[in-house]
Amino acid sequence: MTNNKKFDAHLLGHKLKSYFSKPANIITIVFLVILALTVILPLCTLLFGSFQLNTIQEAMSAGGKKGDWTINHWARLLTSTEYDYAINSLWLPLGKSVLMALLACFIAVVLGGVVAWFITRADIPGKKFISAVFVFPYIMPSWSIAIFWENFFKNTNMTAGPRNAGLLQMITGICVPQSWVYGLVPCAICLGLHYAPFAYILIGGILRNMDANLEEAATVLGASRLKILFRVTLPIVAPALISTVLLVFSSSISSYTVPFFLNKDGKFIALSVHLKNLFSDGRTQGQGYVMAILLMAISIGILTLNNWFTGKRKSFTTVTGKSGQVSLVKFGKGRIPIAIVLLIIVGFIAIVPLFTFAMESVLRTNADGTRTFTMDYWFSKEVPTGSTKSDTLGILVSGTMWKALGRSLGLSVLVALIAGTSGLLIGYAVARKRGSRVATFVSDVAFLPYLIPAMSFGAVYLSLSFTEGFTWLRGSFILLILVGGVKFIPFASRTGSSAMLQLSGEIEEAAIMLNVPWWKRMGRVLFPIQKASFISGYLLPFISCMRELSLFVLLTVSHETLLTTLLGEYSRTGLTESANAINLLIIIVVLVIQFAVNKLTGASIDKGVGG
Amino acid sequence: MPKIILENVTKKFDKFVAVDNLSMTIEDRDFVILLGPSGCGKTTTLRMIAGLETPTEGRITIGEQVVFDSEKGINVPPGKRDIGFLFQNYALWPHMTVYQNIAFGLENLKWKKDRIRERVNEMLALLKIEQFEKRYPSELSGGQQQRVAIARTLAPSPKVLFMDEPLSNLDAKLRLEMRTELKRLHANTDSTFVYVTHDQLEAMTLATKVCLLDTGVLQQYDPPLVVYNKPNNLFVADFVGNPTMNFIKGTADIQGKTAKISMLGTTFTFRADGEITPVQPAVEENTESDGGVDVVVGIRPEFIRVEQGKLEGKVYTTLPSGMETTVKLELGEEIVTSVVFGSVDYPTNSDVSFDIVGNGVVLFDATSRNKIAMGSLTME
Amino acid sequence: MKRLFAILLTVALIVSAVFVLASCKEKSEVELAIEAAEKMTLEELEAASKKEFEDNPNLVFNADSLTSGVKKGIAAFIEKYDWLNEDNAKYNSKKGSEYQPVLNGAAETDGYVADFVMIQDASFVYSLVNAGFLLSYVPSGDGYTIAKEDQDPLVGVTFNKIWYYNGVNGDGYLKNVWQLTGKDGASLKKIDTVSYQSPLGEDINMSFLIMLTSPEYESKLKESYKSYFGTDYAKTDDCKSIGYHYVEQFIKAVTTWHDSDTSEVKNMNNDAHKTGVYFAGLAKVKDYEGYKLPDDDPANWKKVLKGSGFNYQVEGFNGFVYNMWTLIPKTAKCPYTACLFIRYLLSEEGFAKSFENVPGYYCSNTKCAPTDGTTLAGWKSSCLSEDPEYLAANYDSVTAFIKQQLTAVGQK
Repeated sequence: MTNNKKFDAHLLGHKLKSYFSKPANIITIVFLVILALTVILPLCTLLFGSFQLNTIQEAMSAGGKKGDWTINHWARLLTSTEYDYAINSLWLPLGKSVLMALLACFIAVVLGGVVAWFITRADIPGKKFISAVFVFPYIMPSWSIAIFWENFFKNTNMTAGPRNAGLLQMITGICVPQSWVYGLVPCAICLGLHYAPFAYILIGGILRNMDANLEEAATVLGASRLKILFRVTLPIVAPALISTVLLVFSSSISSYTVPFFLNKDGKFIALSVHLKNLFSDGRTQGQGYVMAILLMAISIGILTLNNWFTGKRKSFTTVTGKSGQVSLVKFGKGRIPIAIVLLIIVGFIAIVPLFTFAMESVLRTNADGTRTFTMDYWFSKEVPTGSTKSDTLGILVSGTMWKALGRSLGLSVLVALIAGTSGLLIGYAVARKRGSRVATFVSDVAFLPYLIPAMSFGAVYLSLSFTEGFTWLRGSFILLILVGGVKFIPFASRTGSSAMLQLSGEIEEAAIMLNVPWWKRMGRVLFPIQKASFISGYLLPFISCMRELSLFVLLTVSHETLLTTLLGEYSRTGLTESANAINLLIIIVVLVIQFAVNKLTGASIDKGVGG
Repeated sequence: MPKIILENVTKKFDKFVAVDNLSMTIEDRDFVILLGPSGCGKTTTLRMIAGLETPTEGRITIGEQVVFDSEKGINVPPGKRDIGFLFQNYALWPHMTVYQNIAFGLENLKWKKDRIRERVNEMLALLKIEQFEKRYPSELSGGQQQRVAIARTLAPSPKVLFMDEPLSNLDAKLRLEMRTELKRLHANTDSTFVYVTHDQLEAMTLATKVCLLDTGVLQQYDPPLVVYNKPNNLFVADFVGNPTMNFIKGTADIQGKTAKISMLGTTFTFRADGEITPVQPAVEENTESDGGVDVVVGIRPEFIRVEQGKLEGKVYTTLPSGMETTVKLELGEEIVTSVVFGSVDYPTNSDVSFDIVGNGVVLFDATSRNKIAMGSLTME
Repeated sequence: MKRLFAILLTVALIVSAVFVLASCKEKSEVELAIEAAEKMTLEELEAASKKEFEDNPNLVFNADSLTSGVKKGIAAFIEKYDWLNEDNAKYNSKKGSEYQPVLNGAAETDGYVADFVMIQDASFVYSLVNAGFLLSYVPSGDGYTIAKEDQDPLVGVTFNKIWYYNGVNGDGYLKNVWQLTGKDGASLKKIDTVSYQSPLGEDINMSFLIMLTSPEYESKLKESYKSYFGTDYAKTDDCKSIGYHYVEQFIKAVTTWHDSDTSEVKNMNNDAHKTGVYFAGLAKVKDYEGYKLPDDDPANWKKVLKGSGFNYQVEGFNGFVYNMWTLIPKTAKCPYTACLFIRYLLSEEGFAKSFENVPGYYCSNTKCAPTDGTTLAGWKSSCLSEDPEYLAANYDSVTAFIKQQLTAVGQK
C-alpha cells in the first residue's frame, strides 16, 4: 500500500518534470494562471456583481447592506414593467442596437470584403495606395468619424445659421434629411466605416492565404465568376468571415461614443448609452453588470453558433500549393473605372475626414459667424479664455499635450509589447499543442476580453483597484498597462496563432536537434521567419491603444494623462478646433510609426491578422 | 480533335521573362510533358494554355479555336476552353463532399441531375473511390484525394487535360502506382494530356513527347527517347538521364565527317553519322594548334564498358543498386561514370581498364553548347 | 466541492464581519483632523498644512473637481503657500458620470481617491456623506458667512442652468415654460428649436427632470399653466401629476439633445434665422463667442448677458439651481491642507481668483457677493432647486418614466 503510493508520487514527479520540460507546456500553464487572474476573475466580478448590492446607493435604496445577495438587478432590468422599464432600458434598445450592429457589420464586411477582394484578386491599378489609405478610419478614434459625419452632412434645414452648413451643403447645396445625420442608420454607417478597414485586414488575410487553386479549379470547370464567389470562395472563407462579423458586431454594439454623439434628435438611444448610464450611476451599477453579461452572452452565443455550424468536417486546411501564383481577375477596360470608384470611396472615408480635421483646426469662427484662417490652435501660446482647459491654446506648444502624447506613446508601446508577446507565446503553445484541450482553452479565454465592452472592462478593473491587496494599482500607470495589455491580447493571439500554425514543427525541431535553447529558438529561428506577421501582431494593439478612450477613461486620474482623454476633455469643453488638431495629431503619429515599422520590418497592419 | 498550337508566346512578370517566345504544337492525343528545372517556365506555360495566366504576347490555338491572341485581343476564359486541370495540391473544395466535388463541373454544364449522378458514379468506379462518395476531402488520404481530383477533372470529359506536377505530393510507391494509372487513363480517355514535372524519369516513362524548357526558352521538343539519345544541347543532355551523361572536355580537329579529338590524355577518332555542323574557331588568338576547336564529348554511362579496353583507370567508387551498378572511374583529372548490368562490386582504388563503345556518342561545341554531331569514338 | 464552498462562505462571512466592525470604529484620523482644523486659526491651519508636507516630503495634495474653477484656485493656492508647488498640489478635472464610480469604489473600500473633491448630484453626494465617506470642514471667522443649511455637507459653489435664447432675434420671446411643451398646437409659439443636454449623459439634467415631478413645484407649474392657457390644469392623460405631464410634453418638444452646454452657448447666436431656446449653465456665458472676459466692471457683464440672451422673468421657473459641494474624503492623506484649501477657495480672495467674478457662480460664503447684480436668493426663488431626499426616493421610478418618454420620442 505505502509502496504503491510512493511509487505513484515518484511517477507523478517524473511526469510533471517531463511535462514541464517542454516550453509549450510551461507557457500554457503560465498563461492559464495569468488569464485566470486577468480575465476570468474580472468576469466573476461581473457575474457576482450582478447578484449583489454593489454600491452604497444600491444598498441604501434596497434597504440592505453592501454585498448582500439580490436578484433585483436581473429582475428589474429584464422584467420591470414600471413605465415599461425593462422594455425601454433593455429590450427595445437591445433590439435596435442589434439592428445597428448588424447593419454596421454588413457595411464593414461588405465594404472591407469587396476592397479586400479587389486588392487580392483583381488587376486594378493603385492597389498599394488604396490598401495603405483604407486603414486610416481604423486608426482614428471611432467618434472622430461621427464628428466628421456630422460636420459633413449637417445642414441649415436642420438648424439654421451659417455655422450649421456642413461640407456637403457648402459644396453642393444639398441638404440631406435629418435622419441621415442622426440616428440608427448614421450610427451604423459610421461604425461600419470605422470597422471596414478591420474587416478588410481580416478578410484580406484570409483571401491572401487561401489557396488560389481552389478558385482556379472552379474556373477551369466552367463556373461563372459569381458562382465561384458563392459556391467556392465564400463557403471556404465563411468561418473566418463569421468570426470577422462577430468581432465587428461586438465592437459595434458596445461602442458608446458614436451612438451618444449621433443622437442629437433623440430618435435612437443605443444599448451602450444605457449601459454607460447604468454603469456610471451608483444606483444602477448592478444593472450595468447584468447588461454587460447579456452583451457578452450574445457575442459568445454567436461564437458558439459559428463553431457549431463550421464543424470539424468542413474545416478549411491550407495545403501549401502554388498559391503564390494567384492569377488576377482581369477587368480589361473596367479596371480604371473600378479603381476610380474604389479611390473615391476610400478617399471619402479616409482622406476627407483628415482634410476636415485639418481645416477645422485652422479656421477660427468669428462672432459674426464668418471664419478666418489661423494657426493659433496649433501654435498660439495664449492661454484659452473662458474655461481653462489647457495651458496654451496651441496644442503644439502645450506642455500638457506633449506630456500626454509621451504617456500615450509609452502606454501603447508597453501594451503592444505585452499583448504582442503574449499573443506570440499563446500562438506558439496552441501551434505546438494542437488539439490539446488546455491549449485550446487558453486560446479561447485569450479571446474573451474582446467580447467584454470596453466600458465594463474598465469598470471591472476599477473595482479591482479598490479591492484589498490591489489598491496599489489605483490610479497607477501599471493599471492602464495591465488593462490595455489584457484587452488587446485577442488581436495578438489571433495573429500569433495563425503565424505559428503556418510554420512547420520541423523548423523548430531542426533547432532542437542542435540543442539550441528555447528562447534562442524563438528569437533566432521562429520569430525572424514570420517577422512581418508577428510584428503586425504588435502593431494592431499599439494602434488600438493609441486611439482608445472608453477603456481608460474610468482609470485615469487626470484628463491630462493620455492624448485621448485630453481629446475628450477638449471636445467636452467646446474647444473643438484644438480637439480637431489633436485628432489629426493622433492619426499622424500612428501613421508615421506604422510607416517606420513597415519600412524597417516589412510588417503592416493591413498585413496584420491572419498572417 | 484538338491540336494545341503555341505561337511566339511570351510571358513577362514585370521585367522577369518567364517564358520567352515559345512556339510548339501539341498533336491530338499526345501525352506531352513540360519538363525542366524549377523556375524554367513550365508551369507558367501550362497555365497560359489553360487560360489561368495571360500571356504578354503571342497566340494560342486549341483545336479550331484561337483561345488567345495578343494582337486581336482574344482571351477565351478557362471554363470555355474545354479543358481539365489537375492541380499539384489537388485543390479539392474542403466544404464539399467527394460527390459534390466531382459533380460541380457537370452542374456548370447544366446537366440533368440523374445524368450527373450517372457520370459521377462512372467516375467513382473508374478511379475506385465509390466508398468515399459522402466523405469530405479532409477525411481522405493523399492518394484518395488525388483520385478524387482526377475524377473531378475527368468528369466533364475534357478534350485536353492539364496536369501540374500531380504526383509530387505522393510517396514514392503511390507515385509509381499512379504513373501506371495515368498512362492507362491516357490510353482509355482519348484525350490530349499536357503534364508538368521536374522529374525526368516521370517524363521518360509517361510522355509521348517531352518539351524541355530552361529559363523560359524551349530547349528540345521531341519524343522521350530522342531527347535521351539525341540531346540538342548540353543542358538537355545533362538534365535527362540518370546517372547523367559523361561530359569530357577536349579539342577537336574536324575534317569532313571525322574529327580527331584529344582528350583524356590521348587522341580519339570520332566518326560522325552525318555531316558535322561547322564550328567557328573560338577566338582566333586562342587557336594555337592547327585550328582545333574546343568541344565537349558526351557519352552515356551505358556506352562505357568496363573490364576490357584500352583505357586504364582506377575505381573511384562503386554504387550497386541490384539490377545495375554504377561505377565511377578515375582517369587523370576526369571522373567517368559507367553503368554495368547486374551487381558487381569493384574494390575502391583497384585498377580497371575500360572502353568507349557504340555509336551514341554526342559531340558538343564547347562554346555554343549545342550538339554538332552524333557518332562513335575509337582510340588511336 | 461542498466543503470548499463552506470554507469560502466562512471566509467571506469573517471578512465581512471584520468590515462591519471596522465601520463601527471610532472617529477616523481625518475626522479628528477636521474637527481640530475647525477650531484652528488661519495661522495654525497653515502651520498644520506645512507640517504635513514636512513630515512626508512625498505627499501630493490631489484636488478632484468637476469644475475648472478649482484649477485656477489651485494655481493661486500654490502661489500663496511656499511649501506647495505644481508637483505636490494637483488639480484633476473630472466628468460627473465618469467620476461617480471612482468615488463609489473608494468609498466602498475606504480607499484613497483624493484629498479634496468638488462634486455635484445631490442624492449621490448625500449617500456618500451619509455613509461617512465625505466629510465637511466649515471655515469660520471674520471673512466667512455660510448659511446653516449649506454647512453639512458643505456647499462650495451653487450653480444654475437657465433658459437661454437666441438674442439676435429679439428678446423676451420665451415668456412661459409651457411654451416649451408645444401644448398649444403644433408650434412652440415663436420658438423653432429647444436644445437640452441628454439626461442620459448629464446627471444634473436628469435631476432637473426628476425635480419637475416633485409635489413641491406643482404650484409653480399650475400657476404658469393657468397664465398660459387661461384655464386650470385638468388631468386628461395617464400622467400622475402636472409635473409628469410637463416632463412628458417637454421631452417631446426638445429638438436637439446636445452633448455639451459649452458648445451650445458658444454658438447660440450664430443661428441668425431661427429662434432657439437652450438650457445651459449660466456660468457658461463666459464661453459665449464674441465676448471676451470683461473687466471687473459689473455693467460689462450685464451687456454680455443681454447679448447672449436670457430672461429673468420666465413664468413658471427660470431654470434649475444646484450645488457643488466642497468635501474631504475620509481617506485623505493631507486633511489639513484640504481644509486650508477649502478655506482659501471660499475666501473672498480665493473665490475671486478661482471664479473670476463670472456670473453663475454663487459662493456659499455670502461674503463673496456676486458683482453682476444677480443674486442667488433671486435665482432660488425663480428656479427649481434640487432636493436630495426627493431625488433619492424617487430616482428609480421617475428615471423609468423619463426613459419611457425618451424612447417614445424615438418611436414617433
